[in-house]
Amino acid sequence: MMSMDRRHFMKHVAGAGMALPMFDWVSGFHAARAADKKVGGHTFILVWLSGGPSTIDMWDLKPGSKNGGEFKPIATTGSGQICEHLPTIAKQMKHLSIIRSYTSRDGSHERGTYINHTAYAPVASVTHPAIGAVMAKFNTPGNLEVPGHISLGGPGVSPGFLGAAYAPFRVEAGDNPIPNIAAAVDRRRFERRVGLLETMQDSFVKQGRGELPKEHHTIYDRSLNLMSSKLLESFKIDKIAAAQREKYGDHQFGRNCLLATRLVEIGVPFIEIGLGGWDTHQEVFENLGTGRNARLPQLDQGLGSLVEDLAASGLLSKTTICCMGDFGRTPKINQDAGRDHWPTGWSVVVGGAGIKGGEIVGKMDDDGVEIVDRPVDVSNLFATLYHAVGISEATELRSPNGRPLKLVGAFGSGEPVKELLV
Amino acid sequence: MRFCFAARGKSAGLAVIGMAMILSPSAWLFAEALPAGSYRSRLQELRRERDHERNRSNDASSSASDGQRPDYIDAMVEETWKENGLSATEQATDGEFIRRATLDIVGRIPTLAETKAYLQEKGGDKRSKLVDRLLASDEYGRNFANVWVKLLIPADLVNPRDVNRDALHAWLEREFNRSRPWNEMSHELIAATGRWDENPAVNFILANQDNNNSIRTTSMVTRIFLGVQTQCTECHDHPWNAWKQDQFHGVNAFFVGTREKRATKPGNQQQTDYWTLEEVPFQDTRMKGVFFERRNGLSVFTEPTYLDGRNLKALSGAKPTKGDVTEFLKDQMKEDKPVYLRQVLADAVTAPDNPYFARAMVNRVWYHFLGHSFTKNVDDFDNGLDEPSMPDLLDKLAEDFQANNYDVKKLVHWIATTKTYGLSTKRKGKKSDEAVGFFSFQLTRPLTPEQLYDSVLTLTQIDRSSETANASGERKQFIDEFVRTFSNDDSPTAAPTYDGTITQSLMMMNSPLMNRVTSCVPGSYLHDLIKDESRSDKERIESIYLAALSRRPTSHEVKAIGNMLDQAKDKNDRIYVYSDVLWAVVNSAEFALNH
Repeated sequence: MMSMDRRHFMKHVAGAGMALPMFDWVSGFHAARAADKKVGGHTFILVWLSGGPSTIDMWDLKPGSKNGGEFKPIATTGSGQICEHLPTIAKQMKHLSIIRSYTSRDGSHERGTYINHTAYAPVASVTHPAIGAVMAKFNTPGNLEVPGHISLGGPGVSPGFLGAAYAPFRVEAGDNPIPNIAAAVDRRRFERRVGLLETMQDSFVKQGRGELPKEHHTIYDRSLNLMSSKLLESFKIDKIAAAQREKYGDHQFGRNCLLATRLVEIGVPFIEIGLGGWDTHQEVFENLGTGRNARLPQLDQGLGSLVEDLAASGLLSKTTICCMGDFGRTPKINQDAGRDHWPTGWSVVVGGAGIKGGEIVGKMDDDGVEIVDRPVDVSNLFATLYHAVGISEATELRSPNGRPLKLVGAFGSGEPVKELLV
Repeated sequence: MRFCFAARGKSAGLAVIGMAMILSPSAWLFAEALPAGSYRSRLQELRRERDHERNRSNDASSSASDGQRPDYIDAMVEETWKENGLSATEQATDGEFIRRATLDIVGRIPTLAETKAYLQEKGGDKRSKLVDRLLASDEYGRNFANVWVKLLIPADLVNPRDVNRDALHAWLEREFNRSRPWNEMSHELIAATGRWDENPAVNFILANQDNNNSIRTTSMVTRIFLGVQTQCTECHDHPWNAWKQDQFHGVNAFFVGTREKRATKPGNQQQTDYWTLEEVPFQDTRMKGVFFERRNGLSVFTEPTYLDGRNLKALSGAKPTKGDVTEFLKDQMKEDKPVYLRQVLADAVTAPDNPYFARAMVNRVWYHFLGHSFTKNVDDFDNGLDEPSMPDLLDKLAEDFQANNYDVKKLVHWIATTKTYGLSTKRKGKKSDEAVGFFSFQLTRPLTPEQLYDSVLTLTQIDRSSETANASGERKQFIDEFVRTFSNDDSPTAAPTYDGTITQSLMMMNSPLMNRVTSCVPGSYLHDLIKDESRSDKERIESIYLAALSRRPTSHEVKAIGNMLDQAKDKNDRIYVYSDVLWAVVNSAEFALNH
């Protein structure tokens, strides 16, 4: 037992199983999946623009209005126009649609981030699970060796009552994508360590002290599995051809987008890619389009190349994408040439598997102030996204204090945006 | 089985007594909505009985008034087991007990010396003596401050920049250590004004205020100090219990005079120097209350009104009349006495006749030591769904806690010296899950990041070594990193779950810090252990297990490690074997859990 070799050890670990015996707060787990869909095979990518993107300058320009701003619209391969600083994405818009009438209720960063990740407003009694945790719960294939909820520079919102098994696993593309993944001692010693540890775990688990020892054991087994997983190769993007790396741009967001394509390949069900710096109370046009380190060119290179490559490889047929942030920004340009927080009506980009491309849904008035057609509430967006990845929008979770909670939240009718569904 | 006890046990008679409306004259407003049999209606009944008793005699003696442990705790718990057909598990071993009590009271595992001394100690009162020793240590205050800072400043605040966590921690540590009565501490936390460093109690309100919006503060005050969750009633009357939207906003209105002021660093408008929490007298506030929107769209105004329906005038002791805030103000203006709303609220929350205040703290301390409170959630009385599992015991403890001047140390002593607390975590019987909440065995609980780090240091004594330049910085870094990846619901649920993530276990296994603390660094525990050549291998192995787990190694473990030593390549590798053993022990579930 003590001189357990690597292979024996891994077999032992595999025997422990991947399933986590955490509390199952979900009612009707199996009913949650649409009847004709199997677990696995869906990936969802959330491109999160933290700080609140000025979507009036990106996806829903208002040329001719006093609120129009400095950027010019350009044609796309879809039916609407977008900002001139997004040329790569413009070529991919046949795969993506724009909801131009999204309303998200709250203009604080903290609450906006929470609402647009969980479909609920924050309350003190319960932490709602983020969409990434829910998708990891329902869509992680049983044999996946990496966690199902991966955050690439994203805010990494809590799994709430679904528990730590679905917590965002933080990764950054680069030399050290997963912190502490390599053993600090040589292999011989590491096996010696793990051998003794396994002996102790086995004997403690058998003592009948409840579920916690088992849960601890399982998490360690999963971590050890990950340490020796072949999938770790996928996290090394420096092996990818230079030309392909280049088009994603020489910045962390681009590298994270490139890494995301590898994670789609290995079947990770939820990936969040974060890009910060959108809280443009001052100099919005400089910060977005024209300044040094401007946001739009980075978004364009990263997201544009991501969609292009996924479409070319066919992986887009199993990958759903959504690009959004805390909220939109005020149509009115303030005295500092900036825009402030505006949750009332803004644009969200969605596309890929399960969602029609090239469409425009909803309409703001000519000055971008009020929604004049087809308001889309938080629950409508979440219903659409869950539906697209094969999770029934009628699914309810049960909170630890026994309250039923709809996946789609409480804001609005809970209906998906039907005209976008494939 | 879990929470239907009140309907089965002997307390059922009391619990379903029905509507009692004695809370205060103005409670008539709300009392009619009380569901029969709710804990709240029961509390009001109790209160009527108590008032009655007091009128009859002033000799309100308590069974715990001399500070000694009341002996009813174990008796009442045992009675509940009997009623529910449960049998208790065995008592924890001495090793398990010292590890558990030390973790719970001072927030770390015992040192090797403490464990050895305790195992040798004779006498039937050794557990009680141990608890007293731990409570007398300053580490007690530090541990309770660790716990309370996290309760008062929830971790889910994305960017808690408007708060001085360290100052609040130091304040809590001092107050817990000097046994400051809990009602006084609570009063200060609710009513404090001043700079965040000069009067650190302000940091509770500062952390929860959001640009002078006090929605979150309101629900935190009722939840933390009263165990009442009002947050749902921000937007609507509660569907399952008696809490009303008016009550939430009535309490919210107590914050209309609260102001947060930011001072920036000289010459740098971007950087905060400090924050100050100020209080405008009620007479000088513009609004004199708050507007809120009902579900039907109607906008409603409410003046500051406590949960039981008393407005400022009623709270000041005058006879209640409805809607008399203007009249009240006139009276106050005459006396030229400024009214500070948070003071009034703090008075009402901590008032001796408030039925929730002492119970909320008793329930929390019980949770701290037993891993489960009397209620399903530790801070959720009267949610319309669950009744306390042992209402009589909760009531009696609350009464004694109050009679003993809200002395938290005494409360801790009572609970930590019961047989119930000293039970093993080994469960008996097949349906043990259903017995959670009846305390017939102890619950295994995960160490908090603070407990884990401080325990690793206690074991390895790496902070003594020459290679640790910045001990407090390293601790903060570890805990921040650990908590950053923690991301779980901060509100305690029915039973503890293991909160570890893969990121955390990778940190524990492979991080440079954890590898340094488990290596043979001069000055460290391991270095001393190996350097001492008079010791046999067996003695060394035994020392590691005693130090880390407060138990001796099993023969199987001794043999396994013996084999590892035999197979070592050379003298150096033998040292590595010890380091590897220390690593395995620190990474084991037995170390990472409180059991």
